[in-house]
Amino acid sequence: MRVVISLLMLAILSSCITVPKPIYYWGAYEDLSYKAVKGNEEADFQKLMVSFTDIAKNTAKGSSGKIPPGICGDFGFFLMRQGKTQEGKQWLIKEKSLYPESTTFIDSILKMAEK
Amino acid sequence: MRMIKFLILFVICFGLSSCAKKAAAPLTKIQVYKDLYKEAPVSILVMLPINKTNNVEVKDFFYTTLTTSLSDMGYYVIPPFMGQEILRSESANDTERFVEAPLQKFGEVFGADAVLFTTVTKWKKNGVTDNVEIQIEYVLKSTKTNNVLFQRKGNLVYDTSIKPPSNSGLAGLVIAAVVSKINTAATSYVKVSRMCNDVTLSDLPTGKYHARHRLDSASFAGLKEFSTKIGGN
Repeated sequence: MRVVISLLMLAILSSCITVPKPIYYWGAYEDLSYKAVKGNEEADFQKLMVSFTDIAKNTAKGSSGKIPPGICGDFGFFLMRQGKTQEGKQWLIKEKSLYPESTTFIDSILKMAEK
Repeated sequence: MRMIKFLILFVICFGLSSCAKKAAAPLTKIQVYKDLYKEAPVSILVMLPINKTNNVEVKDFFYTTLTTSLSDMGYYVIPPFMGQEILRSESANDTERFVEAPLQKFGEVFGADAVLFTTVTKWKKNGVTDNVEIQIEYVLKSTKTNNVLFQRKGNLVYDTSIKPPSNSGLAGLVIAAVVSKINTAATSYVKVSRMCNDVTLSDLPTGKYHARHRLDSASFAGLKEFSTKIGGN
């Protein structure tokens, strides 16, 4: 009888334990950024760009509800490289507003873009 | 005669007990990483890993997973693509040059409080079992003081025969969650690298954006160098 009760309690307890939600949602970022770094081909960068927007749309899947560090910055940087300067700048500014510690770096990039 | 035997036994016991080393008391994170708690870095610049193995891809495996690992530990990581572009344009992407160099400039240009150096000294794949032996060291240095804030070396074996633990409490569930990321059909070395980061950097005190920030100072620190098996199918 004691064994049955112990097993039952163990089952109830283990059902209560949940794996904590990660701080951020990354989607397929790691694999796609590896392919972009390794291949250095436009098609891989396009897929990475799609993953940036996927991450930005699914922030609720992370416990912070925020876009992870660096995503807005790199997305803005790639947009500017494609000639979409204004849109790129908006994403860089978004990185600063989400993570104020990025201000020094982002401001220097924005300054370089002005030249 | 009995008295002599008793005396001999006493002397032996005394001798043995004096030889036995006292087990070192485990140290807490604030004792081991006191400079890190003092400086409380928020932003980290990840340098390209130093690859001392024969596998040319190792550098990329780790570079693309370090941002996610450190961010999930609560740190702000300088955008990796933009960061590398600037380092390249400044001819500063040769990591080995900076391991022992002053790092203040990285603080001024990137606004980074700390710089992460990673050195991979072993990535040996077993052709029969698909197991991989990895040796990797992570060193986090302050851009303000050049002090080493965190240093840990892992001797890891990615073992394809390991199954995720099913009934070993919360720790087991967390490991299982990491392990379950591995694709069973095709071993993804990007994910193996991520596991290496997560296991070794699990000792790093959490950063500003982590729920346990400043709550982990009394936790016991792990060994500076450790060996373990990782993996799972």
